[in-house]
Amino acid sequence: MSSIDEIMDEILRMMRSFMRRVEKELEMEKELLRPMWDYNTRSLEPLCTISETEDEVIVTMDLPMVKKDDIRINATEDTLEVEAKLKQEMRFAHLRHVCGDVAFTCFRKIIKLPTKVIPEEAKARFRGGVLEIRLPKRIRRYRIKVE
Amino acid sequence: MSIPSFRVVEMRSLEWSEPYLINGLPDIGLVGTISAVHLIKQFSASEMAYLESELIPPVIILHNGAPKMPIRIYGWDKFYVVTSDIAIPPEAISPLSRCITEYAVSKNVKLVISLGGIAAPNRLEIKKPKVYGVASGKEAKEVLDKAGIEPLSEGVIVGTYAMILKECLMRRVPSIILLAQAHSHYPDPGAAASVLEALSKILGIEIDVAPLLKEEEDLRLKLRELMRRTSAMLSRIQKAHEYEVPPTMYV
Repeated sequence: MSSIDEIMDEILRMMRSFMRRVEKELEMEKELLRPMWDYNTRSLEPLCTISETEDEVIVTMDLPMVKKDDIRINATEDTLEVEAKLKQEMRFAHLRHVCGDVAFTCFRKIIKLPTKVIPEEAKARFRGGVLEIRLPKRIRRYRIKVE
Repeated sequence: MSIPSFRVVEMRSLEWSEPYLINGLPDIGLVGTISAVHLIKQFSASEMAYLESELIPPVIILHNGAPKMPIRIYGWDKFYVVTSDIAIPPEAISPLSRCITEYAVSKNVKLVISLGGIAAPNRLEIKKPKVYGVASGKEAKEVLDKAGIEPLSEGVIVGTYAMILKECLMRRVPSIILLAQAHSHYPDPGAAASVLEALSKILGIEIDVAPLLKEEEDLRLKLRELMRRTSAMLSRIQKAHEYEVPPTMYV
């Protein structure tokens, strides 16, 4: 490979990396513009984090004003749906002029999981108003012995 | 072309002898914002000034029909409190920190105290969050020691409070940062209560945190949007990883 080809490859690599960064930033901006409430379902979107270990996908959600028995979780191989009824209806003064005096009754969130999981082996725990769901990955990594 | 910066617009000017300036800006677990709002409410602090810049989003906050600027300074007795209703964009951090420090210098502030959180991955197991302190120098360190606050001895601080500490160091203004163990991505009124208890020891004033803990769930629910924006801004400056980075010189 000539030095010009190498330079061109490097330029292309840098451009692709830059484009990926721009796409990520735009995706983040789009996400921030999305309202955290849904007028049609009278639901609120909870704050949520998704992380991964070698064997699991771990989803946590902040669910204040919710009782453990009022949480409903459904999972498939690649999605997770959480619905949790609020202890009391919530109204927001700043939304009154947007969508009327709406009373929100629950939290609702549907997540596209980053990898396929085994839903029947998932475990959930609710502590201090934070829900933690651990979903074992369908494709696990295996340690390869070095000889 | 001028460099974009911040300016303080004073609505009322009260001069106090040896005042304190308390920063309660959006950060990990919104500890600073929750703490500042609690102080403003509890001591019926009045709005004294706002910060203006082209580096912040074009936003006006409406409260009881009255327009409010997003970054404001409140005051009572001999205390100034800086708070913000918006997440601080990364490009605004340095100019904002400079502006706050300049304001502190112009008011002959005795001590700048920044209230914030430090991400604790095991926060769910922590019943009462611990508070750590960072001091700009010997004088500020003595304040922490006197209040019995454990210093954060190793690590890296990223973001607005880091820049305020830096500006204070450069201008020889005593400054401390109080950091409570907190949820990194969820509003954490429990951590704010801990940080306010530490502040109360430093200032020698009584701060009742019971109302804060009572309305904890309500705050967590209502602060979701600000937390989401703050998390996005923090991820841009990689705030969540600050405790993972060792200072290279001392490895």
